[in-house]
Amino acid sequence: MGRSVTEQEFEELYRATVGDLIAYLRRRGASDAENVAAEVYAIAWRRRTDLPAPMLRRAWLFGAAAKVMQAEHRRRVREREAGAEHARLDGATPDDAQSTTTETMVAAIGRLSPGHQEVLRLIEWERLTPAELATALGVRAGTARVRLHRARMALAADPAVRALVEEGSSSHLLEHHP
Amino acid sequence: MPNPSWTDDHSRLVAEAAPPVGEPADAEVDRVWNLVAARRATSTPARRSRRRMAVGAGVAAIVLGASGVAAADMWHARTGVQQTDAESIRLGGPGELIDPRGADYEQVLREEMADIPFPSDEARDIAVADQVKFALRDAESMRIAQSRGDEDWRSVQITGGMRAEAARAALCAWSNSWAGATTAGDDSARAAAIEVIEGAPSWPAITDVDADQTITPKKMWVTDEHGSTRRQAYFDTTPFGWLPLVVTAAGGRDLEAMGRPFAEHTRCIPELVPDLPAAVPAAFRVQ
Repeated sequence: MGRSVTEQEFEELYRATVGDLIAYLRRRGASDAENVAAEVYAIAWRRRTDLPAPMLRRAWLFGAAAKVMQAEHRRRVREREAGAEHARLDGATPDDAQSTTTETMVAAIGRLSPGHQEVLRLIEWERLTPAELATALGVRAGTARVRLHRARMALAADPAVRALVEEGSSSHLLEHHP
Repeated sequence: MPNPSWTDDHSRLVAEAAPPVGEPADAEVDRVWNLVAARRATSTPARRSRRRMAVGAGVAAIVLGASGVAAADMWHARTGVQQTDAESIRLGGPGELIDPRGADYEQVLREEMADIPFPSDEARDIAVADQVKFALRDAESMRIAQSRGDEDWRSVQITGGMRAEAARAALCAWSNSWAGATTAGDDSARAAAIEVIEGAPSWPAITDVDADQTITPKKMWVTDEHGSTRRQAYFDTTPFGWLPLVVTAAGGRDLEAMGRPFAEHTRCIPELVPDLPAAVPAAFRVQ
């Protein structure tokens, strides 16, 4: 058990991370990001003696947020309110302004297992380091690296992604060797 | 087909597939902080009973746990019970506990905000409808919590918080009147709006919850994701700490300066400020 964070340290943690946490929740389709964020920080306060080292706390908050969202989803299912929300999340598609490339990537990521999806999002969307990824997932660093590798290979093997990358490489070559 | 490998292109493509989201506004950051404070209060063993609190957009806590209050037996919004706990008064204002499930909730709300001036009946109705909407949400939350078997499912509002919410809405509406008159060159209407805005700091609905009305610049140490620590400035705002900025802006003719305190420090119902779009963050403006 580590040293408990003080009131001031907790507020500093909040101010330093709340923007990232709300962005994280919104990118994952949270319908009430403010309340979920508040619940995450309340959990952090209750567990203030268990928080990791300061540089890993942002990742820890992401991990806690994922659990809160999962719990919220289960609660909605129990209340038979999940139907509409589920449809909204699953049906989330990029708006018209987004490129075909983005649509292709969103679809390819959606074809991965939920675990692989989250690993890639944490690394590429939230810019977590592998050490932070381990904290967010609550696993050992080695396990996190293995999961990241598998997630990356799974996405890279997707035919649509392969085509995109090859197309990008061809364009790149043409630009330099007309 | 060769085994796939991961390249910088893959990383870039995944990163670019992230849904775009904006930075949260300061008011939103403050709202979440208030919600955290409310949850922390709930999780701390209370001296007398558990409390549940929600904070209305940085103005005042208006929902408090009603343990010990026979809310389930109420037919009316008024409970006749006065808030006496010092901490709850500090967070939610003084006054009577109100049951949001009461059939006469809207009538009670209108009675409570009767002394707060609005520039029009329409503006008052918009402010009332906004609070009624949240009361219905609270009532529904109670119903769900009760059906789920939660032990602490009851909640009530406090008239001090309800009145503070109404005062904020009134100031939004008066600032909108000021903006419309300023734009149109209507000196008479502009002077009337200025007179009301300049008198607002002494409205009982405001002084009951915030006699100070101050914004204090502060600094704190923050640690970024790379572990480096630096000093960061922020504003410690009392519930109506933004009001002096509005009063000052009313003396000028800059609509951006008038809207900024609302957008940065509190919340205006978009329908109340059609002539003052700067009072609402861009994403929430009425088109």
